[in-house]
Amino acid sequence: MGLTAHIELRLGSLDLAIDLEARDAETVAVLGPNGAGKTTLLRAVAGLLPIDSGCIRLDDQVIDDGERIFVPPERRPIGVVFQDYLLFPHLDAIDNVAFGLRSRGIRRAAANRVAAELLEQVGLGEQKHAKPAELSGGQAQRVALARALAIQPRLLLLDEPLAALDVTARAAVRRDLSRHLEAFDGVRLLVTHDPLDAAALADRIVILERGMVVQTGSLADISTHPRSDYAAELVGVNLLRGTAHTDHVTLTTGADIVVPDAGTGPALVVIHPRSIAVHRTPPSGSPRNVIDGRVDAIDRFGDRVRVHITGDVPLVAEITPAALHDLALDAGAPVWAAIKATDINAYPA
Amino acid sequence: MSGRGRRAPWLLVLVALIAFAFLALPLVGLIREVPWRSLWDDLSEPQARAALRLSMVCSLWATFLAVVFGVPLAWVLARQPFPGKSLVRALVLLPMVVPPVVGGVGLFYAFGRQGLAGRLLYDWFGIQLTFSTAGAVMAETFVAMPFLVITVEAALRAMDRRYEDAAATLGASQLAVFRRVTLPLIKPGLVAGALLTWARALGEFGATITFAGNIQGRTQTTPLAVYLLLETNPRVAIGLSLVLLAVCIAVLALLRDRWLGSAWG
Repeated sequence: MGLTAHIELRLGSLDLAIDLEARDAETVAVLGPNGAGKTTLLRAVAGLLPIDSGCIRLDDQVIDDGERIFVPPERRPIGVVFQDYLLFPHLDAIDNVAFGLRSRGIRRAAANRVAAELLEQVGLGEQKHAKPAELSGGQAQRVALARALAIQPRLLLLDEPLAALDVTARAAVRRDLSRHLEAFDGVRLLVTHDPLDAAALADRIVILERGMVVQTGSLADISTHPRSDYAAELVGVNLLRGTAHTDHVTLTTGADIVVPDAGTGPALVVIHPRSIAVHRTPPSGSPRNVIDGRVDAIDRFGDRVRVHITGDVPLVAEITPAALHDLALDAGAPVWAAIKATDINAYPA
Repeated sequence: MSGRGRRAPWLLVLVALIAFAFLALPLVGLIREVPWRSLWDDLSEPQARAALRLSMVCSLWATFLAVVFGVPLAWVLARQPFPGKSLVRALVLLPMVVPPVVGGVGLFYAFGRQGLAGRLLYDWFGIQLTFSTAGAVMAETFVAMPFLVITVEAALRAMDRRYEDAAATLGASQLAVFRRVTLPLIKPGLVAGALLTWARALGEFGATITFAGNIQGRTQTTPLAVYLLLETNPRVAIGLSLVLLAVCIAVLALLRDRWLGSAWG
């Protein structure tokens, strides 16, 4: 039981073609850059946008087949937490939460009782009669969550549930949200562009780029075997492409990288920035790969420094501020990057 | 025009002052002539009282009808795609620019006793709109409704439609979304539109006199009474003019303070 979606949908310049599955009590995060089609995907599942072709099935029910069947949003058992939450500004917190129940014909008193209980559960019993404008971002998010859960949906959709919050509130709200998601036993599908949110909230990550699913898996899978530049950048590793010849990979730029064992054929090579040693003179000794290049840019993040190196093999190396000081690196400086073969992960493309 | 910094070119300022004087002087002229001391007695004169009462009744009815029919029209124009929409919108807004007397002639040939629809109304139901208070209400509605439609349509376009999406996912039917989410969210625009509509209906002259005629107590609204009394009893005419002016200023002030600020920036 759960969600099975095969969606084809064209909207402006976006061409969405997606296969997606999510089981009960599983949180799936759709992760992708802006314009990848994440929100469009959510709108299609919610019924706010009919699909061109394909099939969306929730449990045993087909809710959109692109032809004859289209269940309108008000009749889908789906709760949505929208980006910016979209709490109705003219209603107070409890009326917002009770909105779905009232829409289903439940009397005010009964609806308010359920709504009050839900607000209590998300820790907002005191804010029952607050208008959305009087709530903080984190509180508004919890009201939005309670509102979506009030209709007892089978599927919960969350669109960038943390993007509207400032950094200080985020970590706490993320923990909270994670707890509330666990308590919901239907399917949880969330859309985000932040890998931290995906890592903290999701059991499984689906990477969406230009309207297509490029990779599915746990964060650990994606960290060790990213399949696109975007995925590699998300998890902060170098991704190179080439052709494997058992013990080395010939990159598309012509350079050879020595690897433990890569089989043969098209291959991807992952190198963690921390596995790269940076030298000002050609190093001697054990490292099997020495790549020369020039420093392109230097980024400092607190106690880490990322050195962008250009050349036959573009790389990002991570070193300590002390090493940066010792090496006296500047943009344009010639450098040699040394990588042990055993620190390189190569796999079929 | 402050002491420091660049000065505005004097020619522009001079012409602007002339324009302002041209607009302001008639008001001053009117207010100077107001017989303040006898004002209450003048307005209590039977013809004046009848006109004021009738104006109140007709303009409120016209506003009510404009809201009831104009809001759905604005919704269709703002939300529903259909062929020939720009033509429909142009027709809807036409009464704002067409001379009201022309509107009155049109109403006469549409709803008059020999008119397109008026003949049927008379033959079937014995209803005659010309020379009746209902006719005066119709004339005012015809001229004033576009103000409501244009204001409400703008509010509908400006509102964040994702609230309607949110309501739909919560199980609200389209009609329920309109009633429970859309209407409350466009309320400032709706109130502003209704006020503008009311002010326009209150001042309506040309279409009313052409279509509904000028019968004291039945179709002679305040503007009509002002026009006639200016010959026979100018003191009363000036008093009634002051009332109309005061109402318009009050409406403008209300729109500015309460609604224009938020609805129209």
